[in-house]
Amino acid sequence: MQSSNLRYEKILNRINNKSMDVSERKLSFKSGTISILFIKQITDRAALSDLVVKPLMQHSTDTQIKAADAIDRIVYVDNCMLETDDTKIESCLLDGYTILLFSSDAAYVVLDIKKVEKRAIPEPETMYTIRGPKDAFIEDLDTNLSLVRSRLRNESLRVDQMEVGQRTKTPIAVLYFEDVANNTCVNEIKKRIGDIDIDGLSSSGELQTFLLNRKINLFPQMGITERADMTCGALLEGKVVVIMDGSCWALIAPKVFSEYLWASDDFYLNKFFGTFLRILRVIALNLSFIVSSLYVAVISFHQDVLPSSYVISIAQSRSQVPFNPLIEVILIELIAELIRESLIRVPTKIGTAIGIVGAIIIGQAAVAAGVFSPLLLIVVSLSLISSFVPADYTIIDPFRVLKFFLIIATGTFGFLGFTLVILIILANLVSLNTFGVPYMAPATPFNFKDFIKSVVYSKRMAPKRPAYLRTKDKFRAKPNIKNKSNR
Amino acid sequence: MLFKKVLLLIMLIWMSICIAGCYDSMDINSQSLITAVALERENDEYVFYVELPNLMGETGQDGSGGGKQQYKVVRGSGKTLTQARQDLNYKNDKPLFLGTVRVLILTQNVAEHGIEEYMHRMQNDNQYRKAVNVITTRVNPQDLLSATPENNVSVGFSIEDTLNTLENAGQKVAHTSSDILENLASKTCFVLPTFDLENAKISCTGYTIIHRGKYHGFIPEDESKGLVWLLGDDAKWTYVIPYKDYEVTVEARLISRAIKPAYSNEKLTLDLDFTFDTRIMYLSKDVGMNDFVQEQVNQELQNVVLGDITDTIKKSKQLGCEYLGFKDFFRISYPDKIRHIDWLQTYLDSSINITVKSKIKPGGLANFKTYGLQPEES
Repeated sequence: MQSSNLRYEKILNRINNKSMDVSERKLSFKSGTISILFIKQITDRAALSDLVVKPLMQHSTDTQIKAADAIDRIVYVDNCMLETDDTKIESCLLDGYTILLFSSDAAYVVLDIKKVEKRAIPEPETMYTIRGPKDAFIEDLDTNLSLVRSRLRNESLRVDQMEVGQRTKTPIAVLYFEDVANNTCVNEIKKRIGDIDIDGLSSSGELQTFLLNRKINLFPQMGITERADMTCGALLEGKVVVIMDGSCWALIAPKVFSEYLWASDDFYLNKFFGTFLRILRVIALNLSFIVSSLYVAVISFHQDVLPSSYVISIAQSRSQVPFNPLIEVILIELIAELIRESLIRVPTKIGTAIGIVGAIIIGQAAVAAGVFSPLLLIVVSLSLISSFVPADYTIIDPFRVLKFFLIIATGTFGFLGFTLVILIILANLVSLNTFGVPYMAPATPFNFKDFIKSVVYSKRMAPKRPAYLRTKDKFRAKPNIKNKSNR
Repeated sequence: MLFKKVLLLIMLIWMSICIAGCYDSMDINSQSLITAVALERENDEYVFYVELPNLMGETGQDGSGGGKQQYKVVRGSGKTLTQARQDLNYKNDKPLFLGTVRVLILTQNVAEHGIEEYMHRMQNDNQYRKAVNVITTRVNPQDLLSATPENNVSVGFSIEDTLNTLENAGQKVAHTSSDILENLASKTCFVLPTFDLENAKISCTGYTIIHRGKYHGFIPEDESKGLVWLLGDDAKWTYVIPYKDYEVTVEARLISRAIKPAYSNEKLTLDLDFTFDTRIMYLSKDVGMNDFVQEQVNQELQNVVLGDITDTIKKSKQLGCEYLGFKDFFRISYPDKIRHIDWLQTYLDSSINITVKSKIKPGGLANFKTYGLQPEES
């Protein structure tokens, strides 16, 4: 009894000395003292009063209360554990658990009544959909997992919980279908997460940089999504999803280049319209990347490719422009990037004003002042608008940077420079892989069926999972041999 | 590994600099864009006239270039084509850009002197598009290029549009520079459209015959129907056929043209078969139409077309020049013979059989043939 008391005092002193912002509620009875330890910012204090303090006081008798008795008969908390290892107390407290320390017992109780402030399930802001579900992830891992689990009611869905960060101890969940996902991919991702040696991570973007196989790489090799339905779709395809606590973005791996151009609406809308939209996105991606460079090439080097009447018209519109096309394009592209970046960083109301000012400055004043030619404005506007078309904005980011290289190369060497830069980029793209899957699949290496499916897709047309994912279960719909033989 | 990559990059950049390089760059607005080139020969000198749009001219206030375009004509002359071009360069503040030339105008004087030199010069000039229309003129090019076309565009564009319109309507035979170079290379006679000034307006007045690279004769526009039947693609003409005391306007469209050369005993026989679709368009009197009248008109039309074609061939023989494209058909049928015979003499000695068939096609007044039926004609 005396030794228990001594130990109890030691633990309390140790915790108080560490200044861990731990709150203590002491309940004294004739038979001894019970200390309730918790961090108030991450504890549901209403639940603490109703489910822990109140029942303990009601059961206060002259008889001693043991930790096991508290769990068995007194506290109403659904998730509680009996522990005896004193060294775990601090980490449990930091994880948001509440500790019941008994002066008369060497064991203690760990109660899960933590509560972290979180927002309600929002609508997706970046990956907006017309017909798809409107729920998006938030920063709470449990909520995000609940959104996924509520859609995938299958026992083979695995949620492997991991922890990253020596100081943050951020929970991470790795989701996959055990009987579908490629083992190599799953193990590689888990290994890379396990190998992360850092004091802390605050977002899935940081986590992504640790998971990629090359340190310097412009192109995204993991998909991101804020949508629960897209996460489920990826899992059903046989991919691995990583969700991190504190981030509203789930990471999807592997993700090949063509998939960055897909939007969830492609699957929800009529397949022909979906196909049209995909083709439109491919055109948009190309336009956003090359149209400014083509302008430079045509105006500076290869006027012959234009119809004569148009050559004269362009020459007239450029007659008062003081810059050569290369400088002109670089300047206006920089202004467009400035406007785009400022619009992202400022509140919506100010953003509208910036948009209007930008449009007036570039569109009206710059042309009237003869700084830019009207055609260039059309070209850059087209490029800018096209850059917003691809469904996953991360695929546009590398092209935003590479565009400047392409413009400079084209402005220096004409179409030759243009072709060289395009070839270098293509060479880089085909040499990439995303967790063992060739980045340009199914175009390179070419697989006709998967290639067609990457353009024209409907679940009816795609009973098989893409071959390049090398899934365990190849079929989404089991092949109906009977029906096939009847045909 | 890194060294290899750096080396590769340096090689790529070096090759790019060697192959292309910044020195190729010439902004579109830093050049004098030419819409028409005219070549004249005056006092034993070559004279170039070029039509240039005034880029700094009447553009909109916002620089949009939406204002009225104005064109100016610049003249350059010299003993040789090179000197004339040099003179032209001296008179222009910016380098001349020939990629926008829509029409090359050769005067009759130049045609008489010979067009081969300039055409070959054109062939070797990479700036020229190879599909530039080539025409001739009998008036001073300065006057022609200074004329204001109806739609106020440049003379170059106006002539090109006129040619295209007439060609699409099946009423003109036009040649691009590449066609002419081909004809010159194969020593084939050909015709070039001629544009002159009529009442200060640019007008298509006929065809200039070029034989061995030089002027050989002129076919007025009103005598050129047979030429279009023989050379034109999708040729189509409207004829007015007198019938009794009124006139019937008939549109004839070429459906097929078969030219079959037969060469035996050093004698050439050409069988020409023409098939037309005919559509009766209007009557000068409201007297109606029936099958009998249609057939009569059709028969008369065949005779008229046959006459046009026969006259064209006769004229060609009179001029002693084969510009009707028969040589190509003969070469295809007798590839060995063409090398050993005097084609022109063979052609001049040849006999030609012409067959013209036409068929009244539904449409026009043929659809209303019962209207105003006259009993005595049924």
